Amino acid sequence: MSIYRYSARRILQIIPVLLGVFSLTFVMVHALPGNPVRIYLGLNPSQSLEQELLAEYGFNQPLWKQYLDYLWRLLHGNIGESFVRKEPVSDLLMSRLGPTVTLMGLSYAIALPSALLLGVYAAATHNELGDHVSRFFGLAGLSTPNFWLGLMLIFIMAYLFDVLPASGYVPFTEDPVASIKHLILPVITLATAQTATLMRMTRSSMVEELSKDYVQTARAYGLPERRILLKHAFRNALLPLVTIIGLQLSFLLDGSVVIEQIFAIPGMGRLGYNGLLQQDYGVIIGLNIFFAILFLVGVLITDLAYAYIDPRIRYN
Amino acid sequence: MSTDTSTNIQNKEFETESGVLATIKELRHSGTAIGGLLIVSLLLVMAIVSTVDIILLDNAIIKSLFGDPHEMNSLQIYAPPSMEHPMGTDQYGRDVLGRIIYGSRVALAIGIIAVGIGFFGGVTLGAFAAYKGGYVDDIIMRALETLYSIPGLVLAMTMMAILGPSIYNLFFAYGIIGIPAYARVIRSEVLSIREEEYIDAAKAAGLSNSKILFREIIPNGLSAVLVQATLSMGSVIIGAAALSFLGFGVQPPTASWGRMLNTAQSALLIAPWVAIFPGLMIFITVMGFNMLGDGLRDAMDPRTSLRSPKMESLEEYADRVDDPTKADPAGSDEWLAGTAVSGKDARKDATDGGERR
Repeated sequence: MSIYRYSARRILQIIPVLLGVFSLTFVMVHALPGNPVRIYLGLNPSQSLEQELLAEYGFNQPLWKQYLDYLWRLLHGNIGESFVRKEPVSDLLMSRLGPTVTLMGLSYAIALPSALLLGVYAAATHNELGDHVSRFFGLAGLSTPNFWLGLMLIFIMAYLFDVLPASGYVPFTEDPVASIKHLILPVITLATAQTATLMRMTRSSMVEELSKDYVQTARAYGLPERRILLKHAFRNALLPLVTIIGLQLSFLLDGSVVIEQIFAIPGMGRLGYNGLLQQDYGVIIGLNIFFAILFLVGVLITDLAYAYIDPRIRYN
Repeated sequence: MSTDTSTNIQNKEFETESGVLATIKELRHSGTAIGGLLIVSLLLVMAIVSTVDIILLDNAIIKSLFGDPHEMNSLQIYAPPSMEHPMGTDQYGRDVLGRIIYGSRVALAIGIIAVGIGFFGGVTLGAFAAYKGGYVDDIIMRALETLYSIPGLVLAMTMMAILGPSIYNLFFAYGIIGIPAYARVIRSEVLSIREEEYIDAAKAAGLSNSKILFREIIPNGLSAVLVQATLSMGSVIIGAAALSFLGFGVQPPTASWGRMLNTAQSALLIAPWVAIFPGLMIFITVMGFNMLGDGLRDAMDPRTSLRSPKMESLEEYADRVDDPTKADPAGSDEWLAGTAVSGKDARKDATDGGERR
């Protein structure tokens, strides 16, 4: 099967999954006790106003009709309307995209190279002190709850030493220095678990590669160890890592929800958190669909990249 | 020694030896696994004792040791760590250490029950899907992919908002979220085991489909899922604590580490101890499970041996050979079980060789 047919099939497979995500979140938000109008109006709302708003937004229609209406709008590229903010969810998401993507991108830009470096180092010193130390730190990084790490970093860097701001977000275009200062702590918080996970993967992948026959052959030919490590084993060890990178997206999105909350970053995660508290149907559904699309496309791209990098892979 | 070797081998049940027992024997050589097991058992004891304390003894044990974790004391609000309160007190003057000890119940219960739900749900669905194949497989896996494609914490938050914040709903939410991952692993295991020769043999012998699935295939595929369960215990505990931290999980006055951190956030400057210790406990707990899982995976992987690095020195060898009383039949059994005789090892080795070519 050619790569084009394979990608076409994979893209088609995404559609039922997205339909599933939509149906699931739709059912879930409508299973929430109460409705957004109630929460919006607060205590003792006037009956007529409530009825009026319910009718205006179609919340008084039978559920199956609301479902089909929503689906119809989805098919036209509209992922929903925020009831509380009176804005399309896509606009809201776009305005919140910057901080979240900056946070996630920077974390990954730090996590990936350091994880590769540490992983290769650990594998090169397999079963020696360096390996044990990096394994320990790998496990420790994986075991540290990110919200606690965030709090501790705020406590140490912002309160004890007063070198970095405790929370908030400044766009890079407004004030680059302040922006970077505000981003350091959240990025470290998010990157720690990523680095640990990727480093462990790199290490085990490298250890496996280094135990293979071709490495022995290379050694027997007298190739310098550095060359064997970086030129031969590392390239092959990278392959399984590529598939992980797409799956990691899910953890990054999860992490951003928590970290945006701790550091008061106005990103997508915070939008979803507030949407959930306000029972803003459109925001919850829209965000879930958007996250699912991000994740599925991420996985698809890494799978295709895998085929591109490793010509031995055939699709059938 | 040489005389009873043959009877020894005859009495052996190779299948069991090569699986569970060999793993346990191999685990003894892994420092990581032992450390992890120690941490986990300590926490387990703590959780059991505090549960007994709450249900049967009306907090008698904890009161005699550190003071009541639920007792409020307005004179002791945010008291720093002292002899009386080794980890200080919180915003209601409650003893942080006592609450941390009680919090171990919540953390372990969530870890074990949620992973249990995910494990059994995932194994059943995944094995069923793989064994049935065709459209049944397609439908089940597509449905699970739906669950899988929403980031876990976001899905859990939404579920908790619907179900209402309580510890039982937390079990349920994290149980459901775990299902797809286990289903995937067991499915691929079943698909590969289904092609093994001994399954053909079982079919030829006339075993029923369900017997083959539950007696032959699933037990052999289980080890991979078991490692995953141990390793995911940590992430479930962190995830549940994160939910409690965000206010969607365990509700006050129940002592839970995540919830304690939630309230600690606002008082970080004046009472850092309220934030430091619960988080440290989450870290230690998760570290314990991860160490155990790591050791377990290494022990189950036939390609790595945990005990090979230490070679017997020449003197030790001479000692052992010269002195027949020092010969240790159990030790030699161990060697047998761990290496050549184990059927599973042979299978894995064979597939490895195939990959290399």
